[in-house]
Amino acid sequence: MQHLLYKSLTAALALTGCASLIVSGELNILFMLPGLAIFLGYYRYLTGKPPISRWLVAGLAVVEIFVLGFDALVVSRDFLIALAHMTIVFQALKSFDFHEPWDPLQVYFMSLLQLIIASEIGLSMVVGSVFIVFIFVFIAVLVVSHFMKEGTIDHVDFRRPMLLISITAFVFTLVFFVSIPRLKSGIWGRQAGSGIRTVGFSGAVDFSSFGDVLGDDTIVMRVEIKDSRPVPLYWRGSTLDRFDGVTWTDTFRPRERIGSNYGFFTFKAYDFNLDELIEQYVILEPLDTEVVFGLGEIAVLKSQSRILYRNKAGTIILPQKSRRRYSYTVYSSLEPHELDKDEFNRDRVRYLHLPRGMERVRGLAREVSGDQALPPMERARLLEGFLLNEFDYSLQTTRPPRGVSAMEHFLFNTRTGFCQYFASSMALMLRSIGIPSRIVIGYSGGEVNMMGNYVIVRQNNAHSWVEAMIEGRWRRFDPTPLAAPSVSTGFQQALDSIRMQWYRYVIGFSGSDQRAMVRTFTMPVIRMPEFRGVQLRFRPVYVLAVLAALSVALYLIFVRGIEHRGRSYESRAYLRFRSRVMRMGGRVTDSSAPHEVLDEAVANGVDPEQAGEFIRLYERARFGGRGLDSGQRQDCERLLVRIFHEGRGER
Amino acid sequence: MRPTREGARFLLATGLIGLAAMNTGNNLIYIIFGMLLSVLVLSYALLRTNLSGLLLKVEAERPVFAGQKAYFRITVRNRKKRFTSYSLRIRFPKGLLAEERTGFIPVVAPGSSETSEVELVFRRRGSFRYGDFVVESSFPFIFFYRRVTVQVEGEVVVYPRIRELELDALRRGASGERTTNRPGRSDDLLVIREFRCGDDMKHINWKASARSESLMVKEFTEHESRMITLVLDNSSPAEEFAFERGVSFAASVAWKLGLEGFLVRLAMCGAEVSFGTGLEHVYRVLDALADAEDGSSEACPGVDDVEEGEGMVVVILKNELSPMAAIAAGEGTVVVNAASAL
Amino acid sequence: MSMALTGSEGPGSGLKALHERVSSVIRGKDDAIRLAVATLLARGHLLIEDVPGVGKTTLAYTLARAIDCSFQRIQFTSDLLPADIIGVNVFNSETREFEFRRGPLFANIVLADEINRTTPKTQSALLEAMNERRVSVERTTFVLEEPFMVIATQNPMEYRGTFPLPESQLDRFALHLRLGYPSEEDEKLALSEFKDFSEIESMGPVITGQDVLRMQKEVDAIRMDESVLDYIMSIVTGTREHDAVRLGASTRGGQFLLKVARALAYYSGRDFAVPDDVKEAAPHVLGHRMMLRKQTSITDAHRVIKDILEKVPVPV
Repeated sequence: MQHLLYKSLTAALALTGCASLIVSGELNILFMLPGLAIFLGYYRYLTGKPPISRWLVAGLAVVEIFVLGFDALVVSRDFLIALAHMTIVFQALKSFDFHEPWDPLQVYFMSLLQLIIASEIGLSMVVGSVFIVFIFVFIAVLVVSHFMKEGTIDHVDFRRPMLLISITAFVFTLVFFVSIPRLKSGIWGRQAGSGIRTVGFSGAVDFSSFGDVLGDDTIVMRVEIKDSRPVPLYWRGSTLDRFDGVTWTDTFRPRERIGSNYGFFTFKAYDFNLDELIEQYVILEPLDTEVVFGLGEIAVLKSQSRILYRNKAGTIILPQKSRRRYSYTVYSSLEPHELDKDEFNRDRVRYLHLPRGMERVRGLAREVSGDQALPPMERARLLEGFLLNEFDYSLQTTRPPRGVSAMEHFLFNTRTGFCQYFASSMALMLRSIGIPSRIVIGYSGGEVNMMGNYVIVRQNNAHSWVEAMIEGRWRRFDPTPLAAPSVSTGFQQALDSIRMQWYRYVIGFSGSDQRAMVRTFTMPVIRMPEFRGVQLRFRPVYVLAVLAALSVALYLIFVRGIEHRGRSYESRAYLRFRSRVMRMGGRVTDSSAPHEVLDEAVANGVDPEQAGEFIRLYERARFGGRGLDSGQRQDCERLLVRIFHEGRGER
Repeated sequence: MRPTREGARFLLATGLIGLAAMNTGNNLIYIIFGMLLSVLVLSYALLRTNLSGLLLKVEAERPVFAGQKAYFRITVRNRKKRFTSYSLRIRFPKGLLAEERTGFIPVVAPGSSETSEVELVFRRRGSFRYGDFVVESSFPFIFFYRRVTVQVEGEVVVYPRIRELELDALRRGASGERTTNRPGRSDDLLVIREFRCGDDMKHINWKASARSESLMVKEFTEHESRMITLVLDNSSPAEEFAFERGVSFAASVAWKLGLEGFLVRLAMCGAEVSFGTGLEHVYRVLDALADAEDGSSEACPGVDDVEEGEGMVVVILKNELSPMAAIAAGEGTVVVNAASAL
Repeated sequence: MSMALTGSEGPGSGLKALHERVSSVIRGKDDAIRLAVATLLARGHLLIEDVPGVGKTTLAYTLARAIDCSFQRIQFTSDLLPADIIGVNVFNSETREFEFRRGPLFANIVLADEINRTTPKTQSALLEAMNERRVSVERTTFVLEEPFMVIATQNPMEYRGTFPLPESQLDRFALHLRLGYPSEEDEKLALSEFKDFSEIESMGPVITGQDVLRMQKEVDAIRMDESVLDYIMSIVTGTREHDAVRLGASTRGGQFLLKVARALAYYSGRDFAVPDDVKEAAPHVLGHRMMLRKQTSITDAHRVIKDILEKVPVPV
């Protein structure tokens, strides 16, 4: 007789697998309809009805394979989706077809396949919860199937091991998940096929994926700004100059290598007044980019690096991605300087380049920017104003219809998007009316920490804006309207936070996250943010000392505690006596009686009278049923001290 | 740790999913991969834990006779403090038996022991060292199993084959017909004499007392000859068949009559068991017979001084030419020719 | 464990006198004497086994005569009948009535010499009386007078012409003792101070039967801690689980181990038993109750018990 729990678990697993596919929302209801039979199948299975004919099942399976072909080639036109349909039908078929006790194993593997497909076609958070259920149920069923196979399922209480093993396996799964090396190490959010994006700084601006973009409040940097704080804050990172219709990239490949001059790097090719520069002390968290951030144009940088790189567009780049927190001081000018005309003209073409198919955009730009005779500054302002006023900000974007570019979809259809859409549109419109322009990516704003009087910049602050070459200077324009102040309840926020965690740490878990975790656990010195004047730094020695003390304490509490737990005073004292004798070389084991221990002690040079007295006290208390009062305990302690210290001194 | 048939498939699936994870970089596939790996790791760890700290004890339920069903109790004691051991299959050593036998213990809680009973048949008598038992388990899953070889100390003593024999002649010879002239408690009247201090009241013969006007008691002969000495001829090697039949005969007599309360003594070259009663004594005789070897070169003290008056002596000869035929001359001695008499 | 005698907490004066008396006759056998007296205090019977001539009978005799109570000695032979030890109904010609004439078993201390020389029938008659402390003859039951102790001696099994006691009978003895040869020094002393039985008789008793009864009651009141009880249980279970053992110690063995351990505690002047008491008694109380796979002598059993004692953890 098959155990009901085993059957229920099998049913749960099959339904879990199917549910994971259904909640992905990509399936065709028509093809899933036969799958409804699964409920009947498991109802029959659980109530002990006999399986239906093998021939019928096999015949239906063959039919389903033909349906698969039809589905994949004609209806869904997506093999994965068709496969998903098929697995659901197969699960339903199998529910009528349990002959052998280990037949459910096929169900498990089918469910596994379903989960893999689900993870490929949809990655909503519901799939995540299904996953967790699956891991538990899968392991549980494997344990139960063991007892099934041994035929002891009705005689052995397996619930406890089943539960414990499931939990352990879950923990192990997490450990493996975070520790398996990710060969395709990359920026999280750019996982193949995942389509998930969160806001944040990435080396490029890209319009190839759509859907929700999620907030991320990971801290990027903390900045202390000397003297006054300018408003608004635009932390420039790098510039992007070329758009191919989908992606903005930086084409200034050749980088200039700059050596340190007593820790100072000077980048300005023009004169500057040091007094006018704004000094910022930046603590940069380990990021997936080599770019250095600063307000405005960086003129001088002070850091511990030996060398830095700078490209022609003024982006400053570290030799490699920093693995640790990296701190530097930047002196930068908020006022753009005037460029050398000849030199700029050499790159002018780059800043005017447009991809093909921009006719509608060009038309719109001309329409919005007014009279061609207007000064470029005003035309640019008109464009900026157009985007600011007529468009809405949203982190949700939809896929454009076939044949429509993402830019056109934004400008003419949806009129909603986020900073990259605005910046990109404006830059393209500027170019189409002949004003050289480029996109700048970095961060804007930040949260002022009143306690520390510094600015915290998070990934949520990632931003892109536009710079246009007007009258020999790169002028900044920010066409992105403010996000509508979202009114969210605490529940929504909590939900959003969970979503964020799921995407950030499960779906988007990457090699760099692994490295970050390793760093967290292995960093010998816990380095606090360093600010000049206040230096919080722990020496490794102290940390190690504290750790050592902690482990000793834990050892004493748990290991020794377990050993002596529940023992009375006299037993503990006797155990101390015994282990001392043992260490003196006495042949004493757990099976030595007190007087044998005493004999061994005497044989090893302990005073027989005092040791005998101690053993007598112990025996009276332990076996004689007369507990020791505090005075006798002191006697015991005194005896122990005398036995083992004076005795040794005399010799 | 070795994979079962399902385990091989499982390993294959793990490998494929691992490849898929690496290839797509999809983190959910990594989770599944991680889960499969954790199944592997748990299999390894739990297979080890499950089979560690176990104490195996094998006992045969006495007596074990050749050619009869014997019952073995396999006791597994779990000395671990926390972990319960599940699904233990215990395989008997290959050399011990002709056929494969296993015992199965579904669960042993920490600090306790469980017993499984296995039934088997030995073909030959003798002492068998237990040797290497194999303990096997596939807990917690069905994918892998592990085997541990356990050297079990001790031995099982298989007693000679017991045959259905017609023993009435021996029984009578040893008790009924031949009595001594010593007073005792058999049913045979020896003499009627005058009452003496210490006589049992039961034995007063009132009829005789009335006649002689003094108390007369009946005195019976002693039963003391419910004693049998089995002399097994193992002095010089002969055909195995004849010797085995002799051993079997001796064992059958000792077993049957020993249980009926006869005092049994065994004498052969190299071993001697003095008179005694009770089950333990019979076992002692059978122990000696189980290990009896033909052609013993050792001294034969018990055989040489079979005394008169110590009950019946049964001499079991392999053939007429045996040197032991010489001692078979005394009164109250029965000679059995092992090869022909059975 | 003679050490306990020298400590401040020694046995009571009566017990001390008893011990000194016996050890003045049997030299160098302090441990054996201790165990023999403990058996008396534990209301048990004693079996002494050894080769002839090491003082088995002397020990039993001296112990018996040192107590002021009735004493009988029975020499067991092959033609001894049960009635010879229990007693018989005898026809009294004067009163023309039957009266029961008590056998030598009706005494406080009975020395059964060479018990394995007699037939199993007689042996079992003695052992049944020992166990039940009463004798039934012709539907009349006679209760034996307390204190009652049988000290049996036997020759080792290897000696010919013997009927070894079956295990079930051996079980009735609380203690099984081997004397062994004394050390050379003690043997010399024993030679020079040799006392024959009449001399021992003339030394007179040192305590009374009433003293023994009182001491037996006091022994019953000795505190036995739960953990020591568990320790006893583990040892008894150990004999059943040991590889070399075919038949482990009986429940009665455990009971006697408990009683003798208490008596040894009393001997050491304590009113509670400690694991050392159990450890000292275990080989002698359990050794003869076990059936080994290949047994040649009692020392094998002692080795097995030593093995068990080294494995069973002592409560702390």
